[in-house]
Amino acid sequence: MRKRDDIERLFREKFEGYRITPSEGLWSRVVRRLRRQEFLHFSPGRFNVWYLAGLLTVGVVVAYLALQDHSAVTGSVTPETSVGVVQNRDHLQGTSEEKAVKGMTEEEQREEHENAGSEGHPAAAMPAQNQADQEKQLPVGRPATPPPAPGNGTPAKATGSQPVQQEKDHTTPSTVPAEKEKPAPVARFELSVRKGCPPLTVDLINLSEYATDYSWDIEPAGVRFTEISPQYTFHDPGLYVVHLTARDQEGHISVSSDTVEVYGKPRARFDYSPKDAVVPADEICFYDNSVDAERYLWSFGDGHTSTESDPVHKYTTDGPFDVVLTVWSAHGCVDSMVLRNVFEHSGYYLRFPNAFVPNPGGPTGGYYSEGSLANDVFHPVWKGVGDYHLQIFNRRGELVFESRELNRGWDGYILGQLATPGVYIWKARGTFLNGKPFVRFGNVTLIRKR
Amino acid sequence: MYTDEDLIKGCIRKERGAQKALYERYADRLLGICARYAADTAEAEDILQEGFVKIFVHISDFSAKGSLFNWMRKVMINTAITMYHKTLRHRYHQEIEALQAPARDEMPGSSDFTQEELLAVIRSLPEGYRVIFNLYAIEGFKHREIAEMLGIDVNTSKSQYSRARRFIRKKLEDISRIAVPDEKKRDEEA
Repeated sequence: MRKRDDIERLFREKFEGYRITPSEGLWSRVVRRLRRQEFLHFSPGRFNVWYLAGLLTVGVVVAYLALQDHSAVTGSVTPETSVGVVQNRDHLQGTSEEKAVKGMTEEEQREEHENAGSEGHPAAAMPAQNQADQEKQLPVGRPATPPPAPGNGTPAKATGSQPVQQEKDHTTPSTVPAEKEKPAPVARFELSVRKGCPPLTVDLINLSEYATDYSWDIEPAGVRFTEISPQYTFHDPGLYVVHLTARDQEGHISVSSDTVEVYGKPRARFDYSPKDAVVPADEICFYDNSVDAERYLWSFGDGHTSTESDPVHKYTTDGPFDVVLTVWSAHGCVDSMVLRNVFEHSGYYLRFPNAFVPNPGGPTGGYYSEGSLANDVFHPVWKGVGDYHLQIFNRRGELVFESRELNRGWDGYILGQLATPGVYIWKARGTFLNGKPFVRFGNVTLIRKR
Repeated sequence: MYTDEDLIKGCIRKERGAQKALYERYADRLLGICARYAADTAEAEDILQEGFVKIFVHISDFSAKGSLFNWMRKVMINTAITMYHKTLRHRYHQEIEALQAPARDEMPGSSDFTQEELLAVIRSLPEGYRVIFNLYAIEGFKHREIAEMLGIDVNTSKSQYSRARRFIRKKLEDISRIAVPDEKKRDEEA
């Protein structure tokens, strides 16, 4: 599918070689960070924290040795005034030195001493090796240690925290660092659908992290799943809450919830009238009895449709027909009702005219030829009629004509005399050939030809 | 004019001049990549800065087999992911709200979006979705690779990507709907 690619292509093309000019100070920020980084990383030929540590160690050792020599000769005669200051500094250096030394590998230590040696303390460095090791065991804050090499005071303060931090910052660029400590579980999920019509099948898509066991609870349905990503079908309308509890092996839990709304479904119901209509001929009224319906689609079964709620339809062909009413609720939920074989008997019909003009030339006996357009005999048009009984009454209710033959109608004469023009009542009873009985009545106007 | 190789050699020797030249040669293009991963320009520059420090510190690890730019690009992306992981805890529960899928899966209106508009769209994505969208749609990684990089499940990558994609589509539709005629834009600028 070509369309699928459009967004990806759009973004890929637009951002191909995309440039943004960095702000002015960014390079100096990089340099500052670099300096710190380089200072914390060992590299021969560049002053860094390891050299500083080495210098400090050497300084302390030299001073210690010097002091020992000194005290051996003169005893511990140190000026009282300088002790306080020296003590403080020594404390500071002692701790920072220890931290720095801990982080070093043996090799680096060796190198440090070699370097120290080459920096002009050959006599002190070499024999001091053992002493220096001893010295590390000694408690810090010993009195009467001379101040370290000049110029090291300020950076030493900074080193207190940096070597630790440096480990964090050190990340290899070609791999993504993995989380060392085991994180707590995070319950998270997604619903394939959050609202819809019943039956609503919802995929509960688990997006939790760092968890091993899951428990899904759907309220108020009272359903529980323990699969990772289950599927559930909501049948009843309502508002549901889905809870996901994610657990890890240690039993830490995390809970996440979301809601699902299942809309109510409409109910399609209809009726029609008249039931005994003659099809094709009569107009049929269809009545909507649906519940919660907002939109309608009627399909009358003859290829015609309507979107009215209560349409009137006139068939042009014989039945039977399957009539379908489809309704939609405001939320777009759908339901439909089908009536099959409506007007199954529409092939049988019986229709009477409401006026006729008798032949003034005398009684004809009422026999007529089918298909004749002469309207001088009152008779029905019919199809499929079996038993048949037609009666005609005058306004006083007197029977003036009667026939049990379909092909014999009323010619408008009573006992040989032309009947009075006016309205007469007719009644027809019988059964269609399919056995369905009928009773019809109506009136007909007798018009005298002038 | 130095070649990349000259600059790499200089950078391995930790020469500040070579580092600066490398920075000046590639910073704008790399920032263009970082920008897509960041919520704003300041964050993008943070990524760029950290990335360049890594590049200079580890330049000796760069094997001349691949292109230098691609290697640097990878470093930037990894830096962006590292940053994302650092902020993960605080922002993870951010969600794309009220995201209704548009009815049709077709491209909204015109494709004449500006880079700025597209950048704004990307930046409006919640962080996790933004990273996945960048990695999959633009960088062209596979979901399996993304899952590995981010330490998530493959299906999570897929489902988050499709949500991001839906979100972006909707945003693009919104943009094309409210697109201002050019004259009006010019008037405003004047």
